[in-house]
Amino acid sequence: MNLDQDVRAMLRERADGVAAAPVVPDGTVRRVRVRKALWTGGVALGVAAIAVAGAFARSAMWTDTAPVPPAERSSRTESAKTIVEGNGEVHSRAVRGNCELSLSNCPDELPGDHLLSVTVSASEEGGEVSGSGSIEGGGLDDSFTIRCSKEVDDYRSGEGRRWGHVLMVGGTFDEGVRAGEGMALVIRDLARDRLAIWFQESVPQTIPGKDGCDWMLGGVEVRGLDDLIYEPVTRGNFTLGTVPPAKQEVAQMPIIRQMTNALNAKDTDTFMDLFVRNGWFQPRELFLGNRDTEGLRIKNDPASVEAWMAINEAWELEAEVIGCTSEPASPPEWNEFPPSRASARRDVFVGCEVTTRWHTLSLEVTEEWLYEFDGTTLLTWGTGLLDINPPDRTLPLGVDGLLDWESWLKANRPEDAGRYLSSRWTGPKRDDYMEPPYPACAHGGPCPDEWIDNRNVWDNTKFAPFANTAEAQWSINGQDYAPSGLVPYNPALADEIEASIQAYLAAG
Amino acid sequence: MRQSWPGELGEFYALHADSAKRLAYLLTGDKELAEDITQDAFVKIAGRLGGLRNRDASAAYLRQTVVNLSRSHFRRKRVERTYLQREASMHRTEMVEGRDVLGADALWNELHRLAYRQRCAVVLRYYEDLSEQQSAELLGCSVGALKALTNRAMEQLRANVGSEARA
Repeated sequence: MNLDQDVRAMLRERADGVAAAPVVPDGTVRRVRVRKALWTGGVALGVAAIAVAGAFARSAMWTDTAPVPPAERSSRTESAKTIVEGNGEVHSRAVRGNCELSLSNCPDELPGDHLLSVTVSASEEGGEVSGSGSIEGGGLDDSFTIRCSKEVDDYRSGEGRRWGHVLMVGGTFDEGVRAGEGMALVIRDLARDRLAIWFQESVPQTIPGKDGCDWMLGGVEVRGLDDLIYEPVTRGNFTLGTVPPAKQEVAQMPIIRQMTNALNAKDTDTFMDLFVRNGWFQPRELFLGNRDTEGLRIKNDPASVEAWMAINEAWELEAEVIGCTSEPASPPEWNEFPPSRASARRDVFVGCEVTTRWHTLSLEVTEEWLYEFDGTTLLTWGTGLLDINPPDRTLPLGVDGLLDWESWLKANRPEDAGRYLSSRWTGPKRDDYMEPPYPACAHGGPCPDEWIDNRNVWDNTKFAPFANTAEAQWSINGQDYAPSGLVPYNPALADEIEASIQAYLAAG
Repeated sequence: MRQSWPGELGEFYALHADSAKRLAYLLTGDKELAEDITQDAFVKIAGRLGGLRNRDASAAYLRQTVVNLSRSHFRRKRVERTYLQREASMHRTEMVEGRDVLGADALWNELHRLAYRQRCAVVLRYYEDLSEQQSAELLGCSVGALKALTNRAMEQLRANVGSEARA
């Protein structure tokens, strides 16, 4: 047998019967449209940035009667008072703004609540300004997008003012959430190097959800969006988008809590019983004896599940669910081919922000746990990294700290380092085919998250060493496995490693 | 203002959609999933058609996107949704496509028991006919590692298909 020829022939034979949809499916066009709108300004849009520049006095420009909006919007009245002053620094080159936003007296956070503070960490390019934000209180990196429409050409090309469609977006997980939109007047004042966005209608529907909050911006206490708009605050503070999330009670929370409790208690039986008979989950580790390509199928491979739980026990894994949102399954977008894709099942996807702590390692990260339910029956579960260095962690180390320990170990205890450490996957290369969308990325700087679904481009870059399996292979409970790059160490040495990390922490 | 899609996208789609789906199918073993990945890939690349330094690189960029999406598909909700359907469809495929020349079905099955990177190395070499350098770049590894991946994959195929045939 000539295997090379057989493989080649087999692949060609298999591929011959495969053809994509003959034209771009409507669903793809829709998604491209959304994407274009957000990323290249193909549809008129802008952004919502509500910002502030108190260092300079409000000039008459800001209270001028606004130009007449486009004809289709002409019925709407103007209100000069609704001008939102933008922080010019944000839109000037090489200067970044910081947002200081604090909340007090707020109602308790509910799953789905979001309030984004904004730190513009990238500069503008091609009429696009992007940044990243974080969810206050949750400590979870989120992302948002600021886009100034290319139709708002005065904004790009120089001084002036122009009406444009403004969209404020923010989101969680893979899905962006539209917070508010409307016609807006975008004013560029090069002399003062600032931008203002005037919302003709800009009431994110979720604002009421935050009524009662006192928002502190740059030391000025404001209440509600209107106050936020008018109050002058300190220069350098860039403000705020609110992201609306519809508050929703995730019906699957009891199952999620049970699963988390079982995991924290290292109760394998309870954990497995929560899944449907044919359910599976994707562990961080790769079990070499597992023949299932997707993950561990609960009922097929209980030995691997036991081993997986033993790994968690060795590292004293603890999970804390911060909040969850659910997304009912949408109809298949391409259900015309093949028809078997149609499903009678009522799938629900639930995404949770989860703080995961490996107490043995003093390590804490924020993860995204994704569940698929049939109603309230758990089908699948998987994890992904969201923030490998959460700023508000309760344990001493994020991943950067863990890497520092590894460096310390190599420098001070090379013999131990040789036993404890293992190589991580180097991850994919940065895309060589396209211009970097962010100038900072081109120079090795931080790449902001992208809120839309191509975030995996950056995730792959940032998280690949920790999301993929490391080169080492360990054995536990008789099961061979490749550990994740996040915790690539041998659990048999957990006690030693814990002592070493404690020594590192004690050494300051 | 650039508003060249869907014309630009449509043209690009017509040229490359089939090959993208075929690659996705060979990497995932599932036509439905391959369709999803193909569409996802086009959604991703559509926003970047104008940003490519070298327009000739667009096909390579699409290939890279398909490989990346195939690798990370389990994280994607839409793909999760199709998992159980895929299981069923794979079994159906094995039953229906019964033509088995030189153990082609066995090879196919074993191909999809390989680790993803191994499978990818095999498909890129034997289907896409990429050079080792190109495949290594696409997989983000060295040429040496690529060779090792391919060799291990072929050894595993040889051993498992051989044992299956003997059985």
